[in-house]
Amino acid sequence: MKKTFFRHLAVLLVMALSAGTLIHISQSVNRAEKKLARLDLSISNEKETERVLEAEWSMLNSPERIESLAKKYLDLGLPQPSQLVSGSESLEGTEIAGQAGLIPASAEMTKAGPFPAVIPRKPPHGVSPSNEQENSPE
Amino acid sequence: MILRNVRQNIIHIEGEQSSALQLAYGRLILLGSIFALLYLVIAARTIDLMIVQGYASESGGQDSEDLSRLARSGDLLDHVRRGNIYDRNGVLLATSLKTPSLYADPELILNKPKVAKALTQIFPDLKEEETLAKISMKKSRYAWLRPNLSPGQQEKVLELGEPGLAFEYADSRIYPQGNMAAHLLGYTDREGRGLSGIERSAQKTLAQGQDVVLTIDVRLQHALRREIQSAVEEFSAQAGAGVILDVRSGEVLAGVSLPDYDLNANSLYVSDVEKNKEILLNRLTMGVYEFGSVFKIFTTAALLETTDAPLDTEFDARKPLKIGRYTINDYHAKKRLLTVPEVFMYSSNIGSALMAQSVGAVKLHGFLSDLGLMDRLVFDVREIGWPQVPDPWGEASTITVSYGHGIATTAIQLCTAAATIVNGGLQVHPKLIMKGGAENIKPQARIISEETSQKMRGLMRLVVTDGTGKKADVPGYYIGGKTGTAEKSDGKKGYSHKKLLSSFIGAFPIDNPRYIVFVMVDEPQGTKKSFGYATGGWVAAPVVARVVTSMAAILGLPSDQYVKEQDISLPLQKYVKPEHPEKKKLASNAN
Repeated sequence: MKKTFFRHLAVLLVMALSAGTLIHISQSVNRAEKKLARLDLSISNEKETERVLEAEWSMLNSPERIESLAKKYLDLGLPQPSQLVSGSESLEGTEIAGQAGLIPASAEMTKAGPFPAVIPRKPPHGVSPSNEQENSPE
Repeated sequence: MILRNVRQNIIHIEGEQSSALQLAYGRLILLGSIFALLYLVIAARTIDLMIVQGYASESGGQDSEDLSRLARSGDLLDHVRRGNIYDRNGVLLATSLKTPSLYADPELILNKPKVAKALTQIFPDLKEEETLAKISMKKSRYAWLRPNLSPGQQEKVLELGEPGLAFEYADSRIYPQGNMAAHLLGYTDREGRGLSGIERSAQKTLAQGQDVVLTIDVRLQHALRREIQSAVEEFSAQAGAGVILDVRSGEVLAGVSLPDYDLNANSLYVSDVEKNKEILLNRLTMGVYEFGSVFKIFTTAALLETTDAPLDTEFDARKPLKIGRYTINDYHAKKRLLTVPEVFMYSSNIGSALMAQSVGAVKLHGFLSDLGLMDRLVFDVREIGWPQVPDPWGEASTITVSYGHGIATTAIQLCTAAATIVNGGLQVHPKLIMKGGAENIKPQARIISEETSQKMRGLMRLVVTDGTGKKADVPGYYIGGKTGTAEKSDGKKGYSHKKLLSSFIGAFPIDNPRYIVFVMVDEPQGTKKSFGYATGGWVAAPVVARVVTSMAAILGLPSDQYVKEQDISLPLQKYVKPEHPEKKKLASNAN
């Protein structure tokens, strides 16, 4: 009788244990699924934000806007042909000689190189494009 | 309790029945334990649901709301977004963004007149009465108010704090550059199906979520649009159009049709096509025009290519030419014998008619066909006009076609043919969608010889140095071209002297052309500054000069490469008779 009792007790214990484990696993899966869904949602939100920012960037950089801002704040006009000379000779032997297009005749040479104003294609991290681009001439 | 009683009874029972009772007792214990365990599981699950999970969802309330939204909106991540459209430098031209649309649940709105008034303040184009009627609907719990709200508008609606106003999110097409290349880009319907332009012709690619890269350069596009717009305003013209074309690859770097419209507001224009047809018409690819004298490029090329006529061949332009019911005059008649370069640079209609006669009707027809001027052009947008060609093609039509009347083509087709003439004689396939690799290379048939192409470049340079297109000259750059001034057809009344189509087709650097720059202005009115003239030389040529100046700065083309002594028009000067200064001034005013 004692033997039967212990056998039954053992079965019950195993059952209880497996039930507990099952609940634990199902809970973990549940949590993991929620976490996954949350991550998916945040990825999709980030992607959407990226798209919005890309559209905004394109809008803020439209040549029409840059031109009007350059005219209004920097008093810049359209460059004249006489302001453009070929710079290939002066750049021979340098790293950028291959891409040496032109440099504005009026531009001062800086230590960084003959291209004083290079507009970055994408805004630097953490800088909102709306503040950044107002002063950059195209 | 029962169990204890049973056990007490067992104590008193002895003998063979006791083992049976023990078995029953064991079974009862087992059953009881199973039930106890079940209750335990239920209790545990209840605790889990009510406390563990309940607490978790409370701490992340926002998240669970988002998650349920995610579940409702279906598989957000698997959803294929319509592809973007970029220019050749990667500037975004069209994209799809999730934008909110506003709707109301009439049952939840308490103070309806107040809400209607507030909404009309946020959206000035909404009418208060209509809005009130919408949000007062009985039975319905959904009153659709407005699509595609801007972030600012959405904020204002949220500030109202009205529980009955809600948003629905859906993709809508955004064009960050507004009017830029509006006609070429085209637009989509609300479901995101392309209805015109690239949106329509590249529908399949875009719908699969793939991006499309165009050959357009937004900087050049802007420069071209700005200059044509200013000419349209200066000469109080009806419309304008222009294109910058790479003569070797056929890539369209810029294409403008004015008046244009903001693509983001396309639904306003598309809703009434009849009223807005002037704005919606793509004058570059769909508009079919008689271009006038620019066609002399093809007549002269046909003469040089199909006959052995040397450049000093003379054509009698002393008196108007009568052919059938037509009398052909020159705008500013020289009234003398003209050589081939003179006919071209002074844009003599009589001379061109005589050239066409010496080429012959059949040969001229064949030549124009080879240039692709007789058939509908194959292009990356589907809105392409059919050229109007004289039928039957007789002697009279050969004559009128020689100076660009009686034949009407699209501007893009005209530029494609001109590109073939100046690029060394190879066929050009214009394109708007950038394709990489083998797809990019199409066989280019030879249409005219290298020698004819070279002669034509010299003649086109002569037009700018000494002929009707002097205003297209930019010191330092090597521009060649041809002016065109066509009288527009006035229905049954024949041609109108007051309604002109003034154009200029330029190529540069003309010794080895890279670009075609074409500008046309529809119905310009002469101004004081232009001494009342509204010809191609006065209206369109200066625009081309300004566009080339801008292009040089954008593309980085140096101005110090031009050597006057090597000008390709110099060898042709010997065929040009020197003129009296007064006459010369008059000539520059001609088309």
